[in-house]
Amino acid sequence: MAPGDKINVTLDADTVAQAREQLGEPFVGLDDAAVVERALDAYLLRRLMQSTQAASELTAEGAERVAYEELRASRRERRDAA
Amino acid sequence: MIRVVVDPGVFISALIGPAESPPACVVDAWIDDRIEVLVSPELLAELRRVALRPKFRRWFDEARARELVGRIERHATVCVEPPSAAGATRDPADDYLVALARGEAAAMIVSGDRDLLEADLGDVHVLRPAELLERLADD
Repeated sequence: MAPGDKINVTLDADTVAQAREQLGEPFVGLDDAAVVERALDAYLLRRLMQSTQAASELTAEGAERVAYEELRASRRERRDAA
Repeated sequence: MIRVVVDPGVFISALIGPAESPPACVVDAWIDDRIEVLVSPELLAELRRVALRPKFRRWFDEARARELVGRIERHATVCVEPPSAAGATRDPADDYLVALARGEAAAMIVSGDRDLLEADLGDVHVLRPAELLERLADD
């Protein structure tokens, strides 16, 4: 699903109850809207992670190396620009 | 639930690495609500800056980078920017992570950054992603 794509989600009491059960104890006090929102956020975040990971050829070590090289480069550029 | 600060490098490593990598498993643990992830406006801003760097266009476009940061912001516990912890680490740019962990009494910072991992922070533990996963497995 690309950003901006529209989807329809049918909600009923069972779906909300299921989402609430999955969230577990720390989220007992949430109202139905917050439960649905959190479950949807979790789903979309996982999906975004998985689809990006699937398109990568990097090893765990390679990914970490690139991530921190770019983090350090970003910080260096900010320092130099300041 | 353990409250942790996850440095931006871990999020990026998770995104461009394999699904079974330790950083990706830490993010999974968070999505599954096995840990609580604390972020601050500064952390989100740094994550956005790094994710938008041209190097990453090979793996994801700008829209996806912005979506990533937005989704992390929505799912995390967003904290008020804490007072500075200047001088806490070798790299002053890491100090805001220490300040966030201290200010929110987080159990630890999760990082792959050597400056943080080797820092003697006393009250703040810094663990590699794999070490956090071992701890979760032991619980």
